[in-house]
Amino acid sequence: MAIDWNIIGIWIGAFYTIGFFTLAIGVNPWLRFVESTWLGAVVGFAFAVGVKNILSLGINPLMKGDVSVVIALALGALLFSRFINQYRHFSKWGVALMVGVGSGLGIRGAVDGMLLKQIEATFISPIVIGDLWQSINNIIIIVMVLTTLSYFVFSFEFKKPSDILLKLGRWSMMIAFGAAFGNTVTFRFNLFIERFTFLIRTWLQIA
Amino acid sequence: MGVAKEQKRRGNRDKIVLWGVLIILTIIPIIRPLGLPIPIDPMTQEFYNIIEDLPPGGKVWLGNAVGSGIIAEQLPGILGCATRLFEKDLKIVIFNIIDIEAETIFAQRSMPELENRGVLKEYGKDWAWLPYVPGVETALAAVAADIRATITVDHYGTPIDQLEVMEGINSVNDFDLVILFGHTTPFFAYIRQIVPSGVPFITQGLTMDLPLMMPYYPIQAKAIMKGLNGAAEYESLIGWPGLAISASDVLNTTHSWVFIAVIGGNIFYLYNTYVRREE
Repeated sequence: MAIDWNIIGIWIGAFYTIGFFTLAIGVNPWLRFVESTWLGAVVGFAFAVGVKNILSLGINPLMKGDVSVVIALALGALLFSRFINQYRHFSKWGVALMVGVGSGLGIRGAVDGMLLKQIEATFISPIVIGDLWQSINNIIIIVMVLTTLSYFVFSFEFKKPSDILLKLGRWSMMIAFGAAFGNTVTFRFNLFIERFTFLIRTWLQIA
Repeated sequence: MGVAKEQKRRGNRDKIVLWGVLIILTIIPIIRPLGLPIPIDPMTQEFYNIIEDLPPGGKVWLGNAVGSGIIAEQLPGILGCATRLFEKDLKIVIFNIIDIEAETIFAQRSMPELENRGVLKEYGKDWAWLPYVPGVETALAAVAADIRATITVDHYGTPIDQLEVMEGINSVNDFDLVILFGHTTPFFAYIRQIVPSGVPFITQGLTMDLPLMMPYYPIQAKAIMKGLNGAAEYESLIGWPGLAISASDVLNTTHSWVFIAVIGGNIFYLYNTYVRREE
């Protein structure tokens, strides 16, 4: 009889899903088991992908005569020197390269993609003729941006009546934090719903 | 000591009530769908319109960064979007950059479903699937600047020079639209590395990431589909009811319960804090 790996996968999925749900009744051996094995599987997966990448992007091209990958492979190998106290300073070269390239690319893109275009996004008219809601939205954006920015101006003391700016800035941020919290709760619910749908429809096949 | 015990006992009882009602409100709509209406959010409509406005043969960069932790929210979205892209006879190139699990998840979850739907076109001619590229944002920047210098073979090991769909595609500038499915890490990387190219960019955000993403709409991101709700609306628009629509009833019932619980909890808190203290 042929083994149906799909069914085994569904049962493993159900075992792990219910195991994680048992957190609701407190920490227990089932939860500890699924947590530990899941973590092991994730680390194993990342390790396997890492090895595959080294082979496909480093070793294989080198075997085919592409010597340009030698520098990258050497710098990558030097990262492991941090485990030997005597030579750990060599690992900083690889890290320095990664940090340098990463920061350079990030900053280059951030100036145009984030900073300038974000400023541009606030250049909006507070009054949009014939569109009341858009006008209200634009006014809210302008007021919240300016008051939130003023909250972080530390070199100037806001005294009455200008301290209203600080209060408005704090309220603006509180509203934003509330929205973020609400969205986070919704997201967690979505995860819960997906797992519950899996249990009822795929595992138990009730609906 | 007595007060602390009483509070702990009440806390445990509240937790049981919250969980109990939540589970009931989750199970009932799954077993017996309520068919509640799904109003279309303007942002989802924009997402839909941008894809609909693409001419046949238009080239689409489909960024897949859907890892295992966000399947619940993003799998229905990417499935709905890919279904529509294939239906519209567009040229699709799937990129797996930034999320280490995305390529595997796509192979195990998205591909079988797309095959079931029967929408997949001829591989190599109409679409291509490129492999995971390590290096996160650095990799994205390199691929965006010169695809062929960074990726030489596709997911199946075929040299990309042999794929008809890749003809004339060398960088992100050769695409008509960039679509991303993923969380904030790929989103911000795309904002920094892809958006400056000027190619229109649309995305589906996780519900919890929306407050971080919304400031980038509409200048950088032309449309942002809002989590699972957005995916349900999109499925409704394209006429392919899938995972998201089937979850929409549960979303409505559970979210209503949370709303009631938060309001009720606050009322009881205020009552206990002020009214009972005065008594």
